[in-house]
Amino acid sequence: MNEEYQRSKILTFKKLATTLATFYATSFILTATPVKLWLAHLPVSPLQQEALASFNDIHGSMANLGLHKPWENLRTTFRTEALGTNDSEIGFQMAEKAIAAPLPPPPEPYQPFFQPGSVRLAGLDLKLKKPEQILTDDLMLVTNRSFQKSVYQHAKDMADIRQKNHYGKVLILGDSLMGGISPFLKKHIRLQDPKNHPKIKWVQSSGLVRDNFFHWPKAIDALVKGQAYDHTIVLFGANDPQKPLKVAGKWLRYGEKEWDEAYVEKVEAIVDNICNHSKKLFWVLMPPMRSKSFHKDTRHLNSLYQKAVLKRPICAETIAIGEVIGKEADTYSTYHLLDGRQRKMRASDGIHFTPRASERVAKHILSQIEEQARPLSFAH
Amino acid sequence: MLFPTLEFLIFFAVVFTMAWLLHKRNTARKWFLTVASYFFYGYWDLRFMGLLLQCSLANYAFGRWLQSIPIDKTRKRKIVLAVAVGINLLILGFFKYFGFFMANAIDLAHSLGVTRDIAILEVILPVGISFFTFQGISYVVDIYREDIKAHKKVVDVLLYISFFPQLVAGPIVRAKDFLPQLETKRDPLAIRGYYGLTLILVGLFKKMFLAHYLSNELVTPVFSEPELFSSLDLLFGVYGYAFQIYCDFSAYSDIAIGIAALLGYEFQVNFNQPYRADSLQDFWRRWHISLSSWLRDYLYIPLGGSRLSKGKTYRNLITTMLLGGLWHGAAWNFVIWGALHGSYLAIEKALRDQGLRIKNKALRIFIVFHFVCLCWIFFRAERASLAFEYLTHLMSQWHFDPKITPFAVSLLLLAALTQLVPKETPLHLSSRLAGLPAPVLGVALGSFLMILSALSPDGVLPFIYFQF
Repeated sequence: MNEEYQRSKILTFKKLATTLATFYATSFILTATPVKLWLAHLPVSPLQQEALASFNDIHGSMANLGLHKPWENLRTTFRTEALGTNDSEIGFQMAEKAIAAPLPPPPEPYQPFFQPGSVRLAGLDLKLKKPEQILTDDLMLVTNRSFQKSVYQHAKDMADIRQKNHYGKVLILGDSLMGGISPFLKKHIRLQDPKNHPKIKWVQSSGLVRDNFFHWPKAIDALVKGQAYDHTIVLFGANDPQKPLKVAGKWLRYGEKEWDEAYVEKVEAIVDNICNHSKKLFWVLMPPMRSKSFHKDTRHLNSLYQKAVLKRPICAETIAIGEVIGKEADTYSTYHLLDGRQRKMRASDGIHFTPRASERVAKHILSQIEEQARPLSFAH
Repeated sequence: MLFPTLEFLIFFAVVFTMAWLLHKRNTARKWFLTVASYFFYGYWDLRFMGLLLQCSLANYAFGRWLQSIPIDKTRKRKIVLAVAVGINLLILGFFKYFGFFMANAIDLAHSLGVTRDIAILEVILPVGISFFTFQGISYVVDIYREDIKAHKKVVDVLLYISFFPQLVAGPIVRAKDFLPQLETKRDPLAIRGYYGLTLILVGLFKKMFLAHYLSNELVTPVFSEPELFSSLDLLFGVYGYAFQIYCDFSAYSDIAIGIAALLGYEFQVNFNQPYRADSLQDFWRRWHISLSSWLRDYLYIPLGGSRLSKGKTYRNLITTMLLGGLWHGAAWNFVIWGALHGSYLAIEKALRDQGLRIKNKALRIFIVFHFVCLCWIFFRAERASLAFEYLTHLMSQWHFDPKITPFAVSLLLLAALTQLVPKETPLHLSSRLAGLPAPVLGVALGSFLMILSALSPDGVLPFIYFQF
C-alpha cells in the first residue's frame, strides 16, 4: 500500500470542506478583482527577467574585464538568438546597458521602391500572385503611371535578387505551425544557397492577440530594425481565435465587429513594419483544421489577413496551403494521396503538420518565391 | 477536461460535495462517482463513452464467467481468460495500432511493387485507452489468479475502470488494490486531506511551472531545430526533456493520487525520484511504477520471468520492454526506445549475474541517468530518423556557442531538486499544513494557485501521457 498515505494526518470532512470553500472563495475573489488582473498581466516570465537582471552586476564586472562574450552567449534566449534581439524584456535591456563594448554599425536600411499611402487600391480586386501578372492583368486599369513604374521596378528587383543570390536575406516568423515548417524552409533555401542563413523566430502558443504572453509587434520591430530583408515569410493565427483582444484598455470579444477591425489594424501595422524593411512579405494562410468550429475561425482570420495585406499590395501577398496538404483547398484531411500512396499530413491534434506535410508546405512557399523571380517577359 | 483548468475546479467542487454527502449510501455514492467519471471522460469526446462502457461491461461479464468455472477446469478457464484479454488487446490494437500497421503494410506493399492505392481509415485514438484496457486486463487476470473475486455489483467494475482521477493518464490501478476499497464506506472523519492537498499543490507546480516552462524555453526549440544549436545546448535540451517528462507525468500522478485521497481512496505512488536510480532495473522500480509492475506481473512473469534459462530471461526482458515501448505509441521510435531499455536491462542482468558492478554509486547513477536521457531522445522525437538527426547534431556541434539561458539552467536545477530532496518531503509538507486553521489554509491554497497561474506560461499544455 501507499505508506505515505497511511502515515499522513487525517482531517474531517467538515474541515476539508471549509478549507476547499475558502480556497474557492479566495480564487474567485482574486480572479474577479484587480489583484488577479494585475497578476494576469504580469509579463510572461517575470522570474526570467529577475534571473537575468540579477546577473547584471556580474555582467558589468565581466564587461570591464573584457569577458563579456561568454555572457552575451549566456544571456541570449532561445527565442531571440539565431533570431535577433528582443527588446521587450527588461532584463535584457538592463544587461544591454551594462555592455561596454561598442556595437557594430547597423547595415544600410532598405529603401522600399514603393511607398503606399497615396495609392490605396480599395475597390480594385487585385490578384496578387506575381508582380508581372498584376501589371499585365489588373494594373493596366490604373492610370497612375508612377504606380505602374513602381510595380515594374519591384518585380524586376525581385527577379534580380533570385538571379544573383537565390533567396537573398530571409526572415521567417510565426507560431508552432511555422515551427514545423521553418526547418524545411531553411533546409531547402540552403540546398540552393549553402551560405544563406535565414533568420527564424517562432514561439509556441503565441499569436497576435495575447501580447502579455508574447508581444509579436515589439519582437518584429526588434528583428527588422536597421535590417534589410529580401523575403519575409510569416504564419500566425492558430492561437488567436476566440480570444479577447485588448485595445486602449478595453477588452473586445472575439466575434464582434470591433474585434475584427482591431485585429486587421494590428496585422496591417505588422505588414507595414515588415514591408518597410523587407522587399517581399509572404503571409501564409492557415490550413483547414479538423474541428469544424476551429476551421470556421481560422477561415475567418484568413479573410482578415487577406484584407490586411492589401495595405501593401506590391510588397505583401498571401499564400494558401490547403491544397498542398489535402485533396481540396478548403477541406481538412489527415491523409493525402501522394505518388499513389496515402501519406499522413496532419498530427493527431488535427492542427499541426507532420514533417512530410511541413516539407511540402515549405517547398510550396519557396515555389511562390521562385515564381516572383521569373524573368519579366512583358513589354515595358 | 484538464486538471489545471476552471472547468475541472467546478466539476470537482460538485463531485467532492456530492460524494461525501452520499457517504452513508455506498452504492449510491459509487453510482454517482461512475456517472461523474463518464461525464469527465465524455467532456473530451462523447463518442468514446460507449467504448469505455462496453469495455467495462465485457470485463465484468468475463470476470463473472471466470468466477463461475470450477478451479479444476483449467483449460476452460484459460480459454475464457485468453478471450477476455484478447478482446481488450483487440480494442487497444485497433484504436492505437491500426494506422501504424496499415501505413507499414502499404509501405511494404509499395516496396514489393504493389502500388495500388489503399484506403486508409483514420482512427482517432480515444484518450486513456491504454490505461483502461490495461486495468480491464488486470481485473480478469486477477480473478483468474484468484487474487480477487469477481464483483457481483456491476457498478464496482464500472467505477474501477472509469474512476476519473486515473482514467486518462494513470496510474494504472490494480483491481486487487482498488476494488476492496469500494466495498467499504468511506469515513468522513478520517480523510487523508492534507496529503491529498499537498500532492495536488506539488503536482500543479511541477506541471504548470516547471514542465511548461521547460517545454517553452528549452525543449521545444532545441528538439524542433537541433541544427541551430551547439552540442552543449542539445545536451541541456535532453536533460530538459528528461525533467520535463518527469515533472509532467509525475505531476499528473500526484494530482490523481491527491484527488483520490480527497474522495477517500488510496492509490499507489507512481514515481519515486527515478533519476536517483543506480541501475536501470532500479529506474524501472521508481519510474511509472504502476506500468512497470503491471508489465512485470502480467507480461514478464507469464513469459517465464527469470525462472528459465539465462538466455530466456534476457529474451523475456527485451520482449517485455519492446512491448512496453509499443504500449507508449505506435511508432518505430517507441520500439527503438523499448529495445534500448530491454537490451540494457539484459546486459545489466548478465553483468550482475557475473558479479560485475561499478563500485562507485554516484558513477552508477550518472551512467543510468545518461542512458535514460539517450533513450528519451527517441521517445521525444516525432519519428526515429529525427532522433538520429538529433544525435548526429549532438555529437558534431561541439563549438562553444551556447545559447542556453540562465533561466533555463535555473529551471533545470529546480527540477533536479525534486530528485534530491528527501523522499518524504510531501508527507512533511502535509504535516505542516495540518497545523493551519481551515480558513487560513484555504486562503493560502487559493493565493498559491493564483500566483502560480500568473507566473506560469499562458495556456494549458496537455499532459504528455494523454497521447498514450
